[in-house]
Amino acid sequence: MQTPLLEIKDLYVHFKTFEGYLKVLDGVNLTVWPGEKVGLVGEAGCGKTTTMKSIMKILAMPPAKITGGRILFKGKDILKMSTPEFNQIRRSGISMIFQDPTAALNPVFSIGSQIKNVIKYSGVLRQNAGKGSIQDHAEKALENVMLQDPERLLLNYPIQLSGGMRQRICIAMALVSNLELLLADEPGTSLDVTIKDQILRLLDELVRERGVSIILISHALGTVKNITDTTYVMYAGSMVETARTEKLFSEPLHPYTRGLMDTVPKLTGGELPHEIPGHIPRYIDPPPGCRFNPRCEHIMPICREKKPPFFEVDDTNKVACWLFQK
Amino acid sequence: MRQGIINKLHSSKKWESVQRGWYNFSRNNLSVLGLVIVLSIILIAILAPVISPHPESVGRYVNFEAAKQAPNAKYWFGTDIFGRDILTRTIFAFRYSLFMAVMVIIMAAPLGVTLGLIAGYFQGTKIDSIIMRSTDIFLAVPPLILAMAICSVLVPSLGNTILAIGALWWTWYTRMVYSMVTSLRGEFFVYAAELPGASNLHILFKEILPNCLSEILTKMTLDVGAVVMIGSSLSFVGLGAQPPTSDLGNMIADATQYLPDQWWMAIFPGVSLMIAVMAFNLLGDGIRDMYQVEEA
Amino acid sequence: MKISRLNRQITDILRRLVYSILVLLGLSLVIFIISRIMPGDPARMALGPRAPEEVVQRLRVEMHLDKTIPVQYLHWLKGAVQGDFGKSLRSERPVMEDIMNVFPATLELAFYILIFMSIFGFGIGTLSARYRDTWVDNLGRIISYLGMITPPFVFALLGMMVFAYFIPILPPMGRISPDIVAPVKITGFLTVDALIQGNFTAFFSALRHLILPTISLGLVGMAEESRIVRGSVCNNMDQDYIAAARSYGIPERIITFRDLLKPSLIPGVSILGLEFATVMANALLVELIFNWPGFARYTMKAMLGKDLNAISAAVLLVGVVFIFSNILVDIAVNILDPRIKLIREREE
Repeated sequence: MQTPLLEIKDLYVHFKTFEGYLKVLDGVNLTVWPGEKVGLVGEAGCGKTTTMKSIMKILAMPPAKITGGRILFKGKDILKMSTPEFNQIRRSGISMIFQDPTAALNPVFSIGSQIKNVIKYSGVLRQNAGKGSIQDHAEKALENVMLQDPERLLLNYPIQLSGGMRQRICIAMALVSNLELLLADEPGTSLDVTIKDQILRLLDELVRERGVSIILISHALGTVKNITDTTYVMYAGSMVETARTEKLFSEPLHPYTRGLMDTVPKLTGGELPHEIPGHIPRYIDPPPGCRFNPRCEHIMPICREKKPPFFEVDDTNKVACWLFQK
Repeated sequence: MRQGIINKLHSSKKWESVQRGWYNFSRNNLSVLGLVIVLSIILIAILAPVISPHPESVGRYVNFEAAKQAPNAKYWFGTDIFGRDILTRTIFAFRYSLFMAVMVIIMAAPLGVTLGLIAGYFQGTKIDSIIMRSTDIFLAVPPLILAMAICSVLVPSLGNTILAIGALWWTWYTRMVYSMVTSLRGEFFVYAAELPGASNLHILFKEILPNCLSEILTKMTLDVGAVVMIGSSLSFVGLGAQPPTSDLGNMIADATQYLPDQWWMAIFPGVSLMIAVMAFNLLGDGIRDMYQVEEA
Repeated sequence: MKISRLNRQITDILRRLVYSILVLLGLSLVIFIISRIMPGDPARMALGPRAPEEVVQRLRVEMHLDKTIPVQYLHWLKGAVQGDFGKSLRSERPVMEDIMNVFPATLELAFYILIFMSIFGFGIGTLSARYRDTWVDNLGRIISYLGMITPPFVFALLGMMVFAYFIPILPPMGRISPDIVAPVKITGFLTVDALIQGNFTAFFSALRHLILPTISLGLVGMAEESRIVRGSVCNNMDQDYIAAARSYGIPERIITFRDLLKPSLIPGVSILGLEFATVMANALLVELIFNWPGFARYTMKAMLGKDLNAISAAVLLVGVVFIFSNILVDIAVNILDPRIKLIREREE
């Protein structure tokens, strides 16, 4: 029996703000197996990025606070680890690609300077690696993401490059190390569609080549469908359903998932897509019980009282909805 | 309930923006403190002859029996070597400084802003060059030094001091408005106004100026503090107010030789100066906050 | 490619220098005109009401006061270019010589002020930012606020009173205690000269004398600096690229001193030029208070004594120093933030 690469168990995160506590993450559960490609979909604001940042432990801790749960990487709880210990994992275990590549690059340092810094601390080099070796690594990293003329690019500053190039560079920096898990937060979202497509293809190839696991986040269903093996659907701070990707798309179970699938326009005719009525809850004062209950057609009394756990429909399909209680 | 009535009475947009402005302003307690102190200072300055306890202390007055008294019930701030009441002199000093600062700004701000608008609007032309190069000349040297230089070659008096400081103060406004205008020129609303053929004057004053207003008002407020400081520095060395007129600067100057024994002669004017400057700074910060758009 | 960038930088600097010279010319013209149109007779004023008329007349001719203003200006300009600003009306010596004598004292003071402003300004600002909203932050903000509103001459007087009289631990005046043998003048910097000659008593005495003037003049600038640095560090701390750096496993210490520091320094350094200007202006008063035999005190006395030649020369020199320091600041900012150059390059 394999151990999962990553297991998030009942993660609770809240943010302290002027108006009160935003209870953003409300018991997140997620598992990634070695070599698995996992998709994570959900509306903007449902907590996907917060979850990823929790894994990387880069949440801004004064407003944010992890109030419960565990995150196990290869069996060890990273939330309990000290920073030096966890840095080891950041260097050669998990890497993250940020949503906005422009914001993720330091504007006053050249690309070369930034990527070489990452290389230096990634543990990929030997102890006495010289400048030449670092330069080689840097150039190769850029070549891996299909960037031309890496030698010249390394001298450039982020402001001189296009959005697509910046995104590739962020991917390159994330892949420098001997990682096992890649967190890709909406890669290509801020770019135009053709470039986004290229980026996703690139990611797919790289991930396959190196056999790393990936959590691919998107609010666009189509993105996730082609690349991932398993998909999680997230709503208002917790997972509502997970299944193998094909199954999720062909047979969505949770009312929210069904609503989501309905919103995708189909080329094969039929009706126009319906919106899911209502809106996402305010985290200050979320609805009790299942957070989807105000918008759910199949609402039952218990939905307003208790939050549904993950019910197993089969080996790989779990739904957090009282409708599927055994 | 009362709010409801008020809302009904002033349902126009202007009132709403005033309210919102006040809300933004009053969120910071310090700004309100600044406003209170500034208003008090202004009130004190205006009512100086009426409220000062020993109005005769302002002019040439000697009363050697009362001289060099430490602060007591009769003379709250003590007396100086001539027996003059320091509190009264401080009050009149505020009056003097405030008057000078307001005069300077009344002179400098409209002139500077207008020149800045013109230079910015006619950016790239000779008019622009002439105006901005002139500002460069005046800004090549720190203002205090230039003010002192000018004052030193003129006969020291209130009028000359105002002229000296005002003559170089406008440049800051021109610079500031110029950079704002040039960055706003490319904005759509300017094009939009140009399309139906609005005159240049109209664009300048009705479109561009309102957008600069917040910065200008903030600066004017902060400037009062700054000019008061410069004025005090000038009179400290004898280039501004002349005796027997009291200005915070020359009061401190005269008092230095009596430190540390008759400390009150220098400390009270000094601290008053600091409080005044601080109040205008706080008020200026508050005004800046007032115009901030609420971040969502 | 690199070479042409360097070329462009040099031409930029040259262009600025030329432009600055033009500005200074304009400035000198303004000063000159003001000084010459004022009522009163400079020659008479210099010599006093009791000097005999022929002496005054001789001085008038010498000062070219009998010629028209443009001619007078040209005479002055000719001299100025050669470094000859005429003779001081008070000391009878060439103005330039007098200035050169007093300049090092102010330069030494300025040096220590710069160190004070930078170290404490950046230090307090960074600490305030790092321990945002804790007592450290609040303390730092109070200090910087008090520093900003205290006029330097008020602080000088207060400081002198408290530390020289009430608790006499610091000397009230001068550059060095009168009973100490001053070191031989090599650089004109007392502290440096004393160190070079191994004269530690003199060194410490000079250092002690520097404390009050330095803090008086540096306080306002330091306060501004710390506020701006705090703002900029706070701003940058929350940026994604810092979080990204953490996510790559880069140690926190490296992040603070490399990735966070460089962008944060920029606003602080940019206003160094303006702050320096305030220092120069306030030095006029502070040097007077502490009887510091420097350039600022000289200028003050020149102004009070209506010593025209000295005033013109001094104001011009201040202009030169100020423009020069602004150019230095611009170069520094360009090094720290390459974006400015690059944006301009892109637009060309």
